[in-house]
Amino acid sequence: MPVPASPSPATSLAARFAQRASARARRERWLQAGLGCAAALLAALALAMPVFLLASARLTVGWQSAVLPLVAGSFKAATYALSVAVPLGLGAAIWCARFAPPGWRALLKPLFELFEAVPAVVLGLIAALLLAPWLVRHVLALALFIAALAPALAVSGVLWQRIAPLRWQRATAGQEVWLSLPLVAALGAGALAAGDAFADTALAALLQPVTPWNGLVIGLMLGLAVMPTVFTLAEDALFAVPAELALGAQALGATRWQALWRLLLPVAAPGIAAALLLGFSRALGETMIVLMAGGNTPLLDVSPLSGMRSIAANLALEAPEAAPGSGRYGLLLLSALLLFGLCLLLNAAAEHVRGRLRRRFAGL
Amino acid sequence: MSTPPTLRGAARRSDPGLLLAAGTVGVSLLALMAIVFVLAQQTVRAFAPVPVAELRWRGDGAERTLLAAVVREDARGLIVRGSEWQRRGADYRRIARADLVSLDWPGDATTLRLRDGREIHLRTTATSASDLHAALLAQAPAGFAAGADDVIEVVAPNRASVLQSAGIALARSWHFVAGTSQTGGGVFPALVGTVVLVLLMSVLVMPLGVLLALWLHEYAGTSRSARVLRAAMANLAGVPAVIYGLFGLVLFVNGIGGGLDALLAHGTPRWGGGGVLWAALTLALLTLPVVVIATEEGLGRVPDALRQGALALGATRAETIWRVVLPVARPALLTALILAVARAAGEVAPLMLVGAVKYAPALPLDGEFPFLHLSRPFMHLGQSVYDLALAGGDAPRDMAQAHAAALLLLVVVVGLNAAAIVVRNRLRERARELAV
Repeated sequence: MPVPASPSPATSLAARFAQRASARARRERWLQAGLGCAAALLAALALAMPVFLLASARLTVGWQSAVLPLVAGSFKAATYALSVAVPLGLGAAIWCARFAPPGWRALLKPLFELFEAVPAVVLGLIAALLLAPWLVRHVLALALFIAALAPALAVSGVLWQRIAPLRWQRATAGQEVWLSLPLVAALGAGALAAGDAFADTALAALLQPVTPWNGLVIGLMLGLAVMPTVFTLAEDALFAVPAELALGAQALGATRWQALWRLLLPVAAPGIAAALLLGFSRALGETMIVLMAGGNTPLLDVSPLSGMRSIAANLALEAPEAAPGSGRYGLLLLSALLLFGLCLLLNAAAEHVRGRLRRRFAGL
Repeated sequence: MSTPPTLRGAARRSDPGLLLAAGTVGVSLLALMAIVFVLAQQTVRAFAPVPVAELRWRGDGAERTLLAAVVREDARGLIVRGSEWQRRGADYRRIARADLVSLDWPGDATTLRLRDGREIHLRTTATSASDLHAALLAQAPAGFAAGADDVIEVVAPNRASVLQSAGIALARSWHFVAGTSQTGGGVFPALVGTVVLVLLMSVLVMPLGVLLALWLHEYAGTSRSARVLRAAMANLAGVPAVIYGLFGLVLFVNGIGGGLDALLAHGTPRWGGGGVLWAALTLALLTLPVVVIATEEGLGRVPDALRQGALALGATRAETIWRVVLPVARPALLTALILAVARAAGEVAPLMLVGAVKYAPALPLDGEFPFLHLSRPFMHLGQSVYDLALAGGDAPRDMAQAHAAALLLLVVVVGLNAAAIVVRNRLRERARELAV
C-alpha cells in the first residue's frame, strides 16, 4: 500500500527556496533595469531641454533689437526685486539665525517657507490691480518711507539700548519684532502723511511715474516673492556657523552685533552669496508678476518709474500664438535659450560657492 | 554693593543693527499680513450685497434719476451700476459729486439677479416670485424679456441685516466655487481642470521620481554618474517654469502632438494643440526635481541598520527596498507628493503655453466615453485669476472675482504646503525614534 511520502520539513524549505530563487533574482534584475532606465531617461531629458531649444532657435535679421530690450527688462526687474529682497531677506535671516529665541525661529522658518509657496499669480494680481494704482499716487511717500526706515530703526535701536531701563530690555530680549512693528507702522503713516502734504511740490512731480505698471511695483512685489528664497538660504548658512565662534568672540568682549558683523558674516559669506545668486536667478525667471504688473513695454530704460517687458513675460505672451517654424518662433526660442543659460550659470555659480561653504564648515 | 559702573557701561554697549534686523522681519510680516488682508477684503467685496441708491443728478442740461448700485464712492464722485436691461456690465456710470442733487437709500429697493448674471434694481415690496416677476416686467423697458424662472436671486440690500448680508455672501461664494455659469461667475470648471491636471501629473511624476531617488540613494551612492545626475537635478530645479512651458510646447504639443496628427491624418488637429495630457507631462517634468530631492532626503533618514538587518536575513536588494525601505520611508513619499502637487497647483506660466485656456467648452472629465479626455484644452484656477483680472468686459465685478479665485488658489496651495511641513516634521521625529 503506497504511503504518501511526507517530505521532511528541511528539504521542503530548501526546495521552496530553490523554487523561488529564480523569481527573486528576476525581480532583482527587473528593479535594477527599471532604475537604470529611469536614470537614463532623466539624463536624456536634462540634455534634451537645451538641445531642443537650440535646435529650434533661429537668428533672424535684427534679432538684437528684438531681444535686447527683453534682456534689459529682465535684468531691470530682477535688479529692483533684489534691492528689496536682499535687505529684507538678509536682515530677517540675521535676526532669525542669531538673535531670535528658538520659538520665534520655529515659527518664522515654516512661515517663510509657506510664503515662498504663494502662487506668483496671486502676488501679480495684487501688484497689478491694487498696489500699482495706489502707488502711482504715493511714490513720494514710498521714497520717504524707504529712506527713513533704516536710519529710524537703527537710531531707535541705539536709543532703546541706551535709555530704556535694563529690566525692560531683559523683558523684551528676543522679542524685538514686537518693538519694531509699531515703529514701522508709525513710520509708514508718517511717510504717507508727508507724501500727501508735499504732493504738489516739484519733487513729487519729478517722482510721478510714467505708468502705474512700473519698475517700482515690480521691485516691491517681485522682491517680496524672492525674499523667502534669500532668507531661507542665508539663514541656513548663518545658522550652520559653529556656536563656538560667536561665543569665543563674545567672551573676548565683542558685542553680539560685532561678533556677527566681523566674524559670522564673513564666515558665512559664501552661503549668503549663493542666496543672492539664487535669488537673482529666481527673479529673472519669474513670469506672472512681471507679466501682470510690469506693463509689458519693451524699453531700453533703467528708470524705476517706467515699465518693462521681460524675457519670461514675453514668452508667456507670444509663444501660444507663434506659428512653429516662423521667424518669431525662432526668436522666442532664442530668448528662452538665453534665459535658460543665464539661470543655469547663476545656479552653477551658487552651487560652486555653496561647495566652498561646506568645505569651510568641514574645516572648522 | 552696586554693580561697578564700568561693567554697566559695557553691558549697555549698543547694537545698532539689532532693531534693524528685527525691523526687516517686522516689515516682511506686515507685508504678508497686508497681502492676506487685501485678498480677504476684496473677496468680501465680491460677494457682499451692494447697497442700492436712488440718485438724482444734473447731466446734459436736464435732471435725471436712476436706481443704481453704488460700486465705489470717493471724494470726487460715485461709480454706480444701473439696471442691466441689455447686457451684463454695460450700465456703469460715473457721477461727479458736483452734479449730484440728491441721494437716498430707499428701503424697498430690491436687486434681482438673472440666470445670465445680469442684475436689475427695482423698487418693490413684493415677496412672492410671481409678484416679483410682474413688477420686473412692469418696470422693464420695451424689448426686455425674462421668464419667472430666470430670476435666481432676490436681495433687498438696504434692508438686509448684517447676518442676512453674511448669509447672502456665503450663498454667493458657494455659487462661485460650485457654479459653472460663465457670466454669473463660477470657477467650478477651473477647479475640475486643476484637479484633473494635478492628479494626472502625480500619476506621471511619482513612479519616475521615486525610481530615480531609489537609484540615486540605494544603488548609485556617490558614483560619478550619480553625481552628474544630482547636478543635473539641481540645475533642472533652478530652470524657470516658463522655460518648461516652452519645452512642453516645442516637444509635446508641436513635436509629438503635431506628429500624431500627421500620422493619424484625421483632418482636424486634435493632439497638435494644447491639452491636459501635454500640460500634465510638462508639470511632471517641472516637479520631478522636487519629488526626487524630497524622496532622497526621506530615504537618507531610513536607518542603515534596517537595511543591513534585512540583507543579513537573506533578503535580496529588491526585497529590502520593497519590504523594508519603502514602508519606512512612506511619509517621505507623501511629503514629496504634497510638495509636487503644491508646486504644480500654483504654477500658471507654463500652462499658458501648453493648454490652459480662458474658456473651455467641455470639462476634461465627464460622463462620455472614454471619460478622461486627454487632448482637450482645460481651464485652470490660476489662469482664471489672470483672465478675470486683466481681460474682463465688466471690470469691477471681474476684478473682485479674480481676488476671490486668488484666495481660493492661495488656500489650496498653502494648505497643501502646510500639510507637507507637518508630515515632514512627524517624519523627522519618527526617524529620530528609529535611530535611537
